[in-house]
Amino acid sequence: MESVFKNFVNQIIVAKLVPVIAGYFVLKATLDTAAGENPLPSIIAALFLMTLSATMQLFQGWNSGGQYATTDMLGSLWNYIVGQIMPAAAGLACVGAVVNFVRHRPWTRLVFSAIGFLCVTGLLKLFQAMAA
Amino acid sequence: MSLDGAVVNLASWAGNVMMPTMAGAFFAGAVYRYSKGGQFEQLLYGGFASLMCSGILRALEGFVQNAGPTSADGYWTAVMNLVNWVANVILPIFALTQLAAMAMHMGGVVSEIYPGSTWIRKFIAAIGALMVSGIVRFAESMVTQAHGI
Repeated sequence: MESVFKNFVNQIIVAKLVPVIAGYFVLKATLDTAAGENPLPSIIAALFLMTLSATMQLFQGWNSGGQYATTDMLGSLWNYIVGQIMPAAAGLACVGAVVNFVRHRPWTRLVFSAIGFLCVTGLLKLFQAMAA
Repeated sequence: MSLDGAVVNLASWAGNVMMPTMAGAFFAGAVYRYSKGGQFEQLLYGGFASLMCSGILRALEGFVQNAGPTSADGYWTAVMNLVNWVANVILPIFALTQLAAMAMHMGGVVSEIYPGSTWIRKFIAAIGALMVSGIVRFAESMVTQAHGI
Protein backbone atom coordinates (compact mmCIF):
# COMPACT_ATOMS: atom_id res chain seq x y z
CA MET A 1 0.00 0.00 0.00
CA GLU A 2 2.81 2.37 0.93
CA SER A 3 4.68 1.72 -2.30
CA VAL A 4 1.49 2.25 -4.30
CA PHE A 5 0.94 5.60 -2.62
CA LYS A 6 4.59 6.58 -3.15
CA ASN A 7 4.36 5.64 -6.81
CA PHE A 8 1.16 7.68 -7.13
CA VAL A 9 2.84 10.72 -5.58
CA ASN A 10 6.09 10.40 -7.55
CA GLN A 11 4.79 9.27 -10.92
CA ILE A 12 1.45 11.05 -11.10
CA ILE A 13 1.56 14.11 -8.87
CA VAL A 14 5.24 15.13 -8.94
CA ALA A 15 6.11 13.96 -12.45
CA LYS A 16 2.89 14.82 -14.31
CA LEU A 17 0.57 17.10 -12.35
CA VAL A 18 3.04 19.55 -10.76
CA PRO A 19 4.68 20.65 -14.09
CA VAL A 20 1.20 21.36 -15.49
CA ILE A 21 0.28 23.45 -12.44
CA ALA A 22 3.65 25.25 -12.75
CA GLY A 23 2.80 25.98 -16.37
CA TYR A 24 -0.55 27.37 -15.23
CA PHE A 25 1.26 29.76 -12.89
CA VAL A 26 3.58 30.87 -15.71
CA LEU A 27 0.47 31.58 -17.79
CA LYS A 28 -1.08 33.39 -14.84
CA ALA A 29 2.08 35.51 -14.46
CA THR A 30 1.78 36.67 -18.07
CA LEU A 31 -1.94 37.39 -17.63
CA ASP A 32 -1.25 39.26 -14.37
CA THR A 33 1.32 41.40 -16.18
CA ALA A 34 -1.13 42.09 -18.99
CA ALA A 35 -3.73 43.15 -16.42
CA GLY A 36 -1.25 45.53 -14.79
CA GLU A 37 -0.85 43.42 -11.66
CA ASN A 38 2.27 42.11 -9.99
CA PRO A 39 3.37 38.80 -11.60
CA LEU A 40 5.97 38.00 -8.92
CA PRO A 41 3.76 35.80 -6.68
CA SER A 42 2.84 33.62 -9.65
CA ILE A 43 6.48 33.42 -10.77
CA ILE A 44 7.62 32.40 -7.27
CA ALA A 45 4.83 29.78 -7.11
CA ALA A 46 5.89 28.41 -10.50
CA LEU A 47 9.54 28.23 -9.44
CA PHE A 48 8.55 26.51 -6.19
CA LEU A 49 6.56 23.87 -8.08
CA MET A 50 9.33 23.36 -10.63
CA THR A 51 11.85 22.76 -7.84
CA LEU A 52 9.48 20.65 -5.74
CA SER A 53 11.55 17.45 -5.88
CA ALA A 54 14.76 19.17 -4.77
CA THR A 55 12.88 21.09 -2.08
CA MET A 56 11.34 17.86 -0.77
CA GLN A 57 14.79 16.25 -0.56
CA LEU A 58 16.09 19.34 1.19
CA PHE A 59 13.29 19.21 3.75
CA GLN A 60 13.83 15.47 4.28
CA GLY A 61 17.49 16.18 4.96
CA TRP A 62 16.48 18.53 7.77
CA ASN A 63 14.38 15.89 9.50
CA SER A 64 16.44 14.65 12.42
CA GLY A 65 13.85 11.97 13.23
CA GLY A 66 14.14 12.69 16.93
CA GLN A 67 11.71 14.11 19.45
CA TYR A 68 12.69 17.66 18.39
CA ALA A 69 12.24 16.97 14.69
CA THR A 70 9.49 19.60 14.32
CA THR A 71 11.50 22.39 15.91
CA ASP A 72 14.61 21.25 14.04
CA MET A 73 12.66 21.49 10.79
CA LEU A 74 11.33 24.95 11.65
CA GLY A 75 14.79 26.14 12.69
CA SER A 76 16.32 24.85 9.46
CA LEU A 77 13.48 26.41 7.47
CA TRP A 78 14.14 29.76 9.18
CA ASN A 79 17.86 29.55 8.38
CA TYR A 80 17.10 28.58 4.78
CA ILE A 81 14.69 31.45 4.23
CA VAL A 82 16.86 34.03 5.98
CA GLY A 83 20.20 32.85 4.60
CA GLN A 84 19.31 31.77 1.08
CA ILE A 85 15.98 33.20 -0.05
CA MET A 86 16.01 36.69 1.47
CA PRO A 87 19.36 37.83 -0.06
CA ALA A 88 17.96 36.88 -3.47
CA ALA A 89 14.76 38.74 -2.58
CA ALA A 90 16.95 41.79 -1.84
CA GLY A 91 18.18 41.62 -5.44
CA LEU A 92 14.60 41.52 -6.69
CA ALA A 93 13.76 44.47 -4.44
CA CYS A 94 16.59 46.48 -6.05
CA VAL A 95 15.21 45.70 -9.50
CA GLY A 96 11.72 46.65 -8.30
CA ALA A 97 13.04 49.92 -6.86
CA VAL A 98 14.55 50.89 -10.23
CA VAL A 99 11.35 49.94 -12.10
CA ASN A 100 9.19 51.89 -9.64
CA PHE A 101 11.53 54.90 -9.89
CA VAL A 102 11.09 55.00 -13.66
CA ARG A 103 7.32 54.56 -13.36
CA HIS A 104 6.95 57.39 -10.79
CA ARG A 105 5.84 54.95 -8.09
CA PRO A 106 7.07 54.66 -4.48
CA TRP A 107 10.55 53.15 -4.60
CA THR A 108 12.34 54.14 -1.37
CA ARG A 109 10.43 51.54 0.64
CA LEU A 110 11.89 48.84 -1.62
CA VAL A 111 15.43 50.10 -0.89
CA PHE A 112 14.81 49.95 2.86
CA SER A 113 13.11 46.57 2.41
CA ALA A 114 16.21 45.30 0.60
CA ILE A 115 18.36 46.38 3.54
CA GLY A 116 15.89 44.62 5.85
CA PHE A 117 16.01 41.46 3.73
CA LEU A 118 19.79 41.42 4.06
CA CYS A 119 19.76 41.64 7.84
CA VAL A 120 16.68 39.70 9.00
CA THR A 121 18.73 37.91 11.66
CA GLY A 122 19.86 41.26 13.02
CA LEU A 123 16.24 42.45 13.15
CA LEU A 124 15.28 39.28 15.05
CA LYS A 125 18.03 39.97 17.58
CA LEU A 126 16.88 43.59 17.80
CA PHE A 127 13.32 42.56 18.63
CA GLN A 128 14.62 39.94 21.07
CA ALA A 129 16.59 42.70 22.79
CA MET A 130 13.47 44.89 22.87
CA ALA A 131 11.43 42.08 24.40
CA ALA A 132 14.09 41.21 26.98
CA MET B 1 17.79 22.94 -9.03
CA SER B 2 16.71 24.08 -5.59
CA LEU B 3 14.23 26.85 -4.84
CA ASP B 4 16.91 29.24 -3.59
CA GLY B 5 18.94 28.66 -6.75
CA ALA B 6 15.86 29.32 -8.87
CA VAL B 7 15.09 32.58 -7.03
CA VAL B 8 18.76 33.66 -7.34
CA ASN B 9 18.59 32.90 -11.08
CA LEU B 10 15.35 34.89 -11.33
CA ALA B 11 16.93 37.90 -9.59
CA SER B 12 20.08 37.56 -11.71
CA TRP B 13 18.04 37.36 -14.93
CA ALA B 14 15.95 40.37 -13.96
CA GLY B 15 18.91 42.46 -12.77
CA ASN B 16 21.64 41.45 -15.20
CA VAL B 17 19.77 40.54 -18.39
CA MET B 18 16.45 42.36 -18.58
CA MET B 19 17.26 45.65 -16.84
CA PRO B 20 20.40 46.48 -18.90
CA THR B 21 18.31 45.80 -21.99
CA MET B 22 15.50 48.00 -20.71
CA ALA B 23 18.07 50.77 -20.15
CA GLY B 24 18.05 51.31 -23.91
CA ALA B 25 14.26 51.68 -23.87
CA PHE B 26 14.49 54.13 -20.96
CA PHE B 27 17.10 56.26 -22.76
CA ALA B 28 14.96 56.22 -25.91
CA GLY B 29 11.95 57.28 -23.85
CA ALA B 30 14.00 60.05 -22.28
CA VAL B 31 14.96 61.42 -25.72
CA TYR B 32 11.30 61.36 -26.82
CA ARG B 33 10.09 63.03 -23.64
CA TYR B 34 12.80 65.69 -23.99
CA SER B 35 11.70 66.38 -27.55
CA LYS B 36 8.19 67.07 -26.28
CA GLY B 37 9.45 69.34 -23.50
CA GLY B 38 8.26 66.92 -20.81
CA GLN B 39 10.02 65.57 -17.74
CA PHE B 40 12.72 63.22 -18.95
CA GLU B 41 15.03 63.07 -15.91
CA GLN B 42 13.24 60.09 -14.36
CA LEU B 43 13.79 57.98 -17.49
CA LEU B 44 17.39 59.19 -17.85
CA TYR B 45 18.32 58.35 -14.26
CA GLY B 46 16.27 55.14 -14.53
CA GLY B 47 18.39 54.12 -17.53
CA PHE B 48 21.55 54.53 -15.49
CA ALA B 49 20.01 52.73 -12.52
CA SER B 50 18.95 49.86 -14.80
CA LEU B 51 22.59 49.34 -15.70
CA MET B 52 23.54 49.38 -12.03
CA CYS B 53 21.08 46.95 -10.41
CA SER B 54 23.91 44.64 -9.35
CA GLY B 55 25.93 47.60 -8.16
CA ILE B 56 23.01 48.92 -6.09
CA LEU B 57 22.61 45.49 -4.45
CA ARG B 58 26.38 45.27 -3.82
CA ALA B 59 26.24 48.74 -2.23
CA LEU B 60 23.37 47.71 0.06
CA GLU B 61 25.22 44.47 0.90
CA GLY B 62 28.26 46.59 1.72
CA PHE B 63 26.21 48.76 4.08
CA VAL B 64 24.80 45.68 5.81
CA GLN B 65 28.20 43.92 5.87
CA ASN B 66 29.80 46.93 7.55
CA ALA B 67 27.02 46.90 10.11
CA GLY B 68 27.32 43.19 10.87
CA PRO B 69 24.19 41.54 9.46
CA THR B 70 23.53 39.43 12.54
CA SER B 71 24.00 42.26 15.00
CA ALA B 72 20.97 43.73 16.77
CA ASP B 73 22.08 47.17 15.56
CA GLY B 74 22.59 45.85 12.04
CA TYR B 75 19.59 47.53 10.41
CA TRP B 76 20.18 50.85 12.15
CA THR B 77 23.88 50.88 11.24
CA ALA B 78 23.10 49.88 7.65
CA VAL B 79 20.59 52.73 7.31
CA MET B 80 23.13 55.08 8.90
CA ASN B 81 25.73 53.93 6.34
CA LEU B 82 23.18 54.65 3.62
CA VAL B 83 22.53 58.14 5.00
CA ASN B 84 26.29 58.78 5.29
CA TRP B 85 26.76 57.65 1.71
CA VAL B 86 24.00 59.93 0.46
CA ALA B 87 25.28 62.88 2.49
CA ASN B 88 29.01 62.43 1.86
CA VAL B 89 29.16 60.90 -1.62
CA ILE B 90 26.00 61.77 -3.54
CA LEU B 91 25.42 65.30 -2.27
CA PRO B 92 28.99 66.54 -3.06
CA ILE B 93 28.47 65.32 -6.65
CA PHE B 94 25.09 67.08 -6.66
CA ALA B 95 26.89 70.21 -5.44
CA LEU B 96 29.23 69.98 -8.43
CA THR B 97 26.26 69.80 -10.80
CA GLN B 98 24.75 72.85 -9.11
CA LEU B 99 28.03 74.74 -9.46
CA ALA B 100 28.14 73.79 -13.14
CA ALA B 101 24.57 75.03 -13.54
CA MET B 102 25.55 78.25 -11.77
CA ALA B 103 28.47 78.75 -14.15
CA MET B 104 26.17 78.19 -17.13
CA HIS B 105 23.66 80.70 -15.76
CA MET B 106 26.45 83.23 -15.23
CA GLY B 107 27.62 82.64 -18.79
CA GLY B 108 24.18 83.56 -20.05
CA VAL B 109 23.31 80.08 -21.28
CA VAL B 110 19.79 80.35 -19.90
CA SER B 111 19.17 84.04 -20.60
CA GLU B 112 20.88 84.63 -23.95
CA ILE B 113 21.13 81.08 -25.30
CA TYR B 114 18.00 79.39 -23.97
CA PRO B 115 18.30 75.58 -24.21
CA GLY B 116 14.55 75.32 -23.65
CA SER B 117 13.93 77.06 -26.98
CA THR B 118 11.95 74.82 -29.24
CA TRP B 119 14.46 74.76 -32.10
CA ILE B 120 17.39 73.93 -29.79
CA ARG B 121 15.34 71.26 -28.03
CA LYS B 122 14.30 69.71 -31.33
CA PHE B 123 17.89 69.77 -32.57
CA ILE B 124 19.23 68.13 -29.41
CA ALA B 125 16.39 65.56 -29.50
CA ALA B 126 17.23 64.72 -33.12
CA ILE B 127 20.90 64.27 -32.22
CA GLY B 128 19.88 62.16 -29.20
CA ALA B 129 17.50 60.06 -31.27
CA LEU B 130 20.29 59.31 -33.72
CA MET B 131 22.67 58.19 -30.99
CA VAL B 132 20.62 56.25 -28.44
CA SER B 133 22.91 53.24 -28.95
CA GLY B 134 25.87 55.51 -28.35
CA ILE B 135 24.24 56.87 -25.19
CA VAL B 136 23.68 53.32 -23.90
CA ARG B 137 27.27 52.32 -24.72
CA PHE B 138 28.52 55.50 -23.05
CA ALA B 139 26.42 54.82 -19.95
CA GLU B 140 27.59 51.19 -19.93
CA SER B 141 31.23 52.26 -20.09
CA MET B 142 30.68 54.72 -17.24
CA VAL B 143 29.00 52.04 -15.13
CA THR B 144 31.65 49.45 -16.03
CA GLN B 145 34.50 51.75 -15.06
CA ALA B 146 32.83 52.82 -11.82
CA HIS B 147 34.31 51.49 -8.63
CA GLY B 148 32.20 49.78 -5.99
CA ILE B 149 32.19 50.68 -2.36
